[in-house]
Amino acid sequence: MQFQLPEELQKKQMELREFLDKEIRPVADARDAQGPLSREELKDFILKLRHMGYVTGPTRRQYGGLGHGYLERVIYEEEMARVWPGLAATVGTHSGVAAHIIRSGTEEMRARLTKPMHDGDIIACDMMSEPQAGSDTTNFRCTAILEGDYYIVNGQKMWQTNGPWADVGLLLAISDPEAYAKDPRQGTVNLLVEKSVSPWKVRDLPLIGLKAGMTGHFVFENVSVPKENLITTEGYKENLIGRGWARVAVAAWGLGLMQAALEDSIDWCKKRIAFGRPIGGFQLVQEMIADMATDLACSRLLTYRAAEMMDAGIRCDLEQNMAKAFATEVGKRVTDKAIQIHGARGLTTQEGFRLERYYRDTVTGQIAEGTIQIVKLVMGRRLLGISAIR
Amino acid sequence: MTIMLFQLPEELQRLQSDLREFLDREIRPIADVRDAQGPLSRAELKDLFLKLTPITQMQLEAATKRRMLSWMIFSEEMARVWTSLAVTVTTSLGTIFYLASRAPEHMRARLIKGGLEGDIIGCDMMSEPEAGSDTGNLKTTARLEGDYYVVNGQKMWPTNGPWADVGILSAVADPEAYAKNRREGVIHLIVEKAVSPWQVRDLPFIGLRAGTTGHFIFENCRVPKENLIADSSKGYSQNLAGRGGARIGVAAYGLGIMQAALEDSIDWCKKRIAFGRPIGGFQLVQEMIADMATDLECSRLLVYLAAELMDSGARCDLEQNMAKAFVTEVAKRVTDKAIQIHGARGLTTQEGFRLERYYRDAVTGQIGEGTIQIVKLVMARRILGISAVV
Repeated sequence: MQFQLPEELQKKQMELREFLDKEIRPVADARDAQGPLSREELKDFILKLRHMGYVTGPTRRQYGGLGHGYLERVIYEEEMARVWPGLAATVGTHSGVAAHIIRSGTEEMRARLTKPMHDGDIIACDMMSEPQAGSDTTNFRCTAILEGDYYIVNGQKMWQTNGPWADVGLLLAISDPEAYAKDPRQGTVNLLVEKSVSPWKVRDLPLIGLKAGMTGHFVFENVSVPKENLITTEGYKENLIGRGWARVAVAAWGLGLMQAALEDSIDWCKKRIAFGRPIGGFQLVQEMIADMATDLACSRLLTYRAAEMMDAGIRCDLEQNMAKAFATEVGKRVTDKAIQIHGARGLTTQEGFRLERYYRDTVTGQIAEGTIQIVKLVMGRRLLGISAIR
Repeated sequence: MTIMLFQLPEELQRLQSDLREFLDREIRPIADVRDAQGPLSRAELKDLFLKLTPITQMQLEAATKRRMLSWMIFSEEMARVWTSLAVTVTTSLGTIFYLASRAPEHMRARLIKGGLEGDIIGCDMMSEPEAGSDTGNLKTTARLEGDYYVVNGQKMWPTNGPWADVGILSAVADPEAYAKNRREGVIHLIVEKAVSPWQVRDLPFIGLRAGTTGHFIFENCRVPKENLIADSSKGYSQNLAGRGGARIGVAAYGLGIMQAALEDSIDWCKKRIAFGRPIGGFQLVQEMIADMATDLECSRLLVYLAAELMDSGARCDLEQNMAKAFVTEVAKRVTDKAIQIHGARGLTTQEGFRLERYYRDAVTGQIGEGTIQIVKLVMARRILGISAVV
């Protein structure tokens, strides 16, 4: 049937939901507020989630993974975020970057890193954004200059999910400043960086949401990276591919958050009595419920469609950006309405309610992988053929 | 070949582009001049039906495989060039096909031929001055006396009313049963003006200017008893079934209006120069374009999903209502932004611009087949299992 998930994915989704409700949700509700996971906790979660295919899913089959398509990955991200976006962002990012390193890296890197990454002994992170450059890819400053057998890396990277935990990273850096100055699509490389070989400085940047995770601010000062760690000299192109998926993944986290907020709100509407009847019997409450369900349905359709187009290899930057902009924008209003429906219980950080967490986690989505505004301008440029950025 | 689930099936994509090409060539030029001049004459209406023959044939062929989905495409494309005509034609044909499938044998061929050629105009006579979505409040009665039903009462707001030669009339045949339970006692009759003359006047609207809307008065109007097409146990459920389809039909008109508004806006953004550049180069304009495109895509996916569910026979009142509420709501903001982008040209009723028409037509959609508010309350009742209406 058109406009629906294929049956086998619908079944998978229900299985995941059941597993996560049993194994992860009870921990999430207590643990998230307490801040970043320890390395041991993180490893335990990775092993637990590997059972259901979350960690090895994105890695191709020939490299020992499950070779999930993008639509299937969206279902995983959605269901993970429904119970614990903080963990989804952490493990999902690790798994995605690991798959990327395994796919694009050398035979030697694959042989050495695949198992420890899949076991959670080595944590991966994507090192692209800088204090002054994220969506503005013309303004990178971090350099990796080849000197003899080493790239010498200097500069900063900022806002990387998993940063302080990261043992390995996919580093985007300028290898040829002159070429890059002329054309930002040229002169950048992607390097595999390993903390044990090329030690760097990093600190955590706590965010409003995703409290169980960490976000890195890296400083590289004359860090030597062996030249064999080169992944590609087409850093720019590699970057764009990664970002397309990352935007869809952020949209998928929004789906899970909205689903959770809607479920909790439906339950509460039926239970909470005011003026002699369940508040679900009031029209203004019913309107909020109807709007939440509709916003979620639209977000799902947009996100699934973008993922399906990625699977089919069709150009879909417009669809990816629509999904990201729409799902993260309406994610805020859906979780906001969920708080409204719950009253003061929506605000409390205790008493078994988690509405305020949904809201905080959703707010991070509107910024991650490009603000809603830059994403709209990229869409506008595609639709009009005119850039409003420069 | 990959089967894409979140896109229209290929044969319908083809139908869509064939319809668009035909309508741009044959109908759009007439629409832009004619709409503002008020209701079409019967002679004009007949000419237009004949002109449309090639595409109604295309639609009927597609409908044998995917009935609702192909009707949605037809309604969308018709509405893109001339919403008013789309509403008139699809309402008439929809009514007539419904009647023909239930009418006495001797009427069928005549109804279909006359309907397709514009000699017979059909209309759905359900709403009354004080009962539309409130289906428990119908006042029109049809009392069986010998070989005739004697009809008394008023019907209000039926599209095509003053033109109607035939109609589906909902009336209370058993007032006692109906008073006890609104699901009982309502019948459907085929009424023909030639056999059972009635009084009717036009109710002009803000939009859909080329069409007409009826206010009917039945005074001891006699309808042959063999014209019964749904008895006391079925009239109510038929009304509900019909309304589900009609709601996504209204949403489909919204798709066409938004598509037209977006196309005109994209053209204009590139052409209109202000402060030394095309206005499409300004970020606030690009945001409007990106939002319009996203609202339209969400709307399409919701409408197509509901239609596909109907075609598969699955229960989909929730999806139908989501489509109707979301699409008619965002159609207003999309056409409003189109006016904003066009400046004063968006307001003018002349000079070859048609933005104000899009807006006026979009506004009618939010009321047609149930206001956005009642539709949301029906959705929420389904989600929560609690009624906030009665």
